Amino acid sequence: MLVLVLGDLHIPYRVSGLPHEFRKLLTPGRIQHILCTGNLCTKETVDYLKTLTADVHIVRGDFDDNPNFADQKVVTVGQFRIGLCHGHQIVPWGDVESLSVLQRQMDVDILITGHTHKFEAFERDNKFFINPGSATGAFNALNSSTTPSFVLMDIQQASLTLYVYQLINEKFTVERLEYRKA
Amino acid sequence: MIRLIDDFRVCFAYHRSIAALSLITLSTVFHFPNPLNAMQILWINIIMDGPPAQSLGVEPVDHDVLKKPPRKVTDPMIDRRLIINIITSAVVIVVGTLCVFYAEMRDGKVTPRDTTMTFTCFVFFDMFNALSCRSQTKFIFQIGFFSNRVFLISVLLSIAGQMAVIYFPPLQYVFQTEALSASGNIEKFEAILKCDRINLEELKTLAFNGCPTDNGIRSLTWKILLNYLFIDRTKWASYLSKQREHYRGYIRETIIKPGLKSTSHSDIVDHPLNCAADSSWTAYFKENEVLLQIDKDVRRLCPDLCFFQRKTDYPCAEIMNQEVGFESLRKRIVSTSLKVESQSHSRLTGRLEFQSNKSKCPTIDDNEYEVLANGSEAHWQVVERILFVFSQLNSGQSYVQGMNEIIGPIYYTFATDPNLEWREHAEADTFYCFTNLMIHLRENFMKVYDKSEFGILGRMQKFSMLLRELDKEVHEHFEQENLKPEFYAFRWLTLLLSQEFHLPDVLRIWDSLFVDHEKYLDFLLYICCAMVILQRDQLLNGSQAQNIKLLQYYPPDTDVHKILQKAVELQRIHKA
Repeated sequence: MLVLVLGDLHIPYRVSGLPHEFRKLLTPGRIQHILCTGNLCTKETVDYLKTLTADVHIVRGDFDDNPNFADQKVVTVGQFRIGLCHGHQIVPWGDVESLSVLQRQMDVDILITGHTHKFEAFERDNKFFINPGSATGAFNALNSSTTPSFVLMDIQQASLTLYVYQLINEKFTVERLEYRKA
Repeated sequence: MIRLIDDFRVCFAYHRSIAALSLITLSTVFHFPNPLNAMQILWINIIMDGPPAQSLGVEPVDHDVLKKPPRKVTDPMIDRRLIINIITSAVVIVVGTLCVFYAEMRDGKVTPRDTTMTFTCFVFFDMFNALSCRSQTKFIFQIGFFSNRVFLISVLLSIAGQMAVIYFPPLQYVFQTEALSASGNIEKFEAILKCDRINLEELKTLAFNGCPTDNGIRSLTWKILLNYLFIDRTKWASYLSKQREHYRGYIRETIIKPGLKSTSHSDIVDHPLNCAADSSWTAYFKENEVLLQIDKDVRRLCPDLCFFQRKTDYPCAEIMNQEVGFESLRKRIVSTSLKVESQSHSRLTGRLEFQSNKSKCPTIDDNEYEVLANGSEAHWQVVERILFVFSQLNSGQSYVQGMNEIIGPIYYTFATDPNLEWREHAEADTFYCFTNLMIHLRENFMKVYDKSEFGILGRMQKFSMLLRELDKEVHEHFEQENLKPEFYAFRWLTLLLSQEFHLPDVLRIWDSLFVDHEKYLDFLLYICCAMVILQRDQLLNGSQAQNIKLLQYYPPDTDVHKILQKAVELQRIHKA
């Protein structure tokens, strides 16, 4: 099952749109679910995501126009419980310990957060933490140049394969990581 | 007074009438199906009341009568001893006949064979009864078997009449009987199939007249006729295990997910969004398109049978083990929405609210069909897998809608085999038999061949020519009405009539078809002509719309045996 994870697009307030290479990659028919960390910010972006697949799950970010998104979501895919949260609620931003606290609170195997606009994927205490970064490379309060990145998860029952797409020097690169549920 | 009329005919007539009446009464009272039909009862009355009964009257005089003491005038004609005699005989006849009927009713349906057996049994009981009624007191051997010549001749004539009723076709139709053979059909088949070297010609002749449905005979016969099993029975065990291993290999090859192939550690990572033609993911998504079509078709396979929706006792081991990399094919293409629990800070109340959409979005297909437990598979999923493997291994042909209708009856026959050993491997066997059959049918399904002589258009032309030769009137009528064979014969020829009749009839037709399936299924053309010719009265008088409707929705309750008989007749006429 293919699940696309992305967020922090900030369209149109900080960036005008997705990078050209990414748009070419993202075609309808291949991806089955989308998990979005938030800060999209407008309805047009939500509609664009819905053209890729019908099953889109979004959580509320601090710059989202729509206030009715949930703050946190827990989604079950295969044997994994995946938690989704934007991350602006966690102070300090991107702090590993605080993320662990949130993961234990939500009781999830994989925690996906955003807000830092920096790609991260690490394993801690047998739980996986993913930050897809910003898919458009929008600037952050602490960092004015970010690498556009997003993540594609391939989930099979109890194993997870992560494909990280990053745009470096106008070309996209793909990295592959694997994680297995204990 | 000397009783000259020593009540031969009386007792005989009483025996028979009481036996016949009680037979029918018992059947009706206990809700058994009727062992004898009206014509047969009338026949019994005629041939029994006629010659044998009359000839009993000319029984040579028994001189011992004069030696007996005289009887009282006031003694009743029908005394207690006679009544007991009558009742005993009647009971013996009824019980014997019902036993035979029961033995023949194993398949639960009243077939002409059952009634013929009962009928003949009753008649022979009656004959023997007549023999025993020749004398009240003496054994037949004491009187002499041949002493009453008239009786003997009449009995022989009655037996000859009975044989005629059973074996002569016009009378068979009148009395609805069937020719009896020395050994039943099942025994004949089993005798042939048990030999170490199977006599293929004999099997083909037998199979042409229909395989019996019990004992897994049909499934075994089809495997032999479709060239899956050799005639040398001793080699079966090793061959079958090899073939089944191959099939499992095919499953692993074709259904393994691209991402889980061991990474080649090359610099270029093959990722799911890769659009390059050589990417295994691109191939994976292309397969999904084929799979989508297969899935849609297989879901609706034989909708009036619940067999395909039931779970199979032998699901695929790899998938059921939930080995990483194998997921049920359905999951690849079905679009689901995930179960979500969301938590949000309510702006109104300032409290945390939890929501879950578990109850809100049940997936649509779970409602329509019985939801199977995890780790079990329905038969349609097995068929889906067979078709998918077939389409992957025959990429030139791929999958065309219609192949599911051909594989359905084959899989059904193999998966309902009473012999569990065969049933366990029904999936692999179906795959091979289907592949063998498709070798001859593939021209029907490939667009490339459409215009050629071997394609479906060519076959329809052949059918049209044949119809013209066999029944010019109907053919001309069709030409006038512009009723082209494309309108009705397309489905008949491509799907081997699987959509026109109920499943048991389809299986019977395919028994005859598989006998000569190597000769491009010529017999199928004769069957189609027979179907048209049997309806010729309606077709000649109907308008174009009525005729199209009749041919496209051919009455499924038509007696398949009649159609097949007619087809054999047509083939004989045409070849002559």
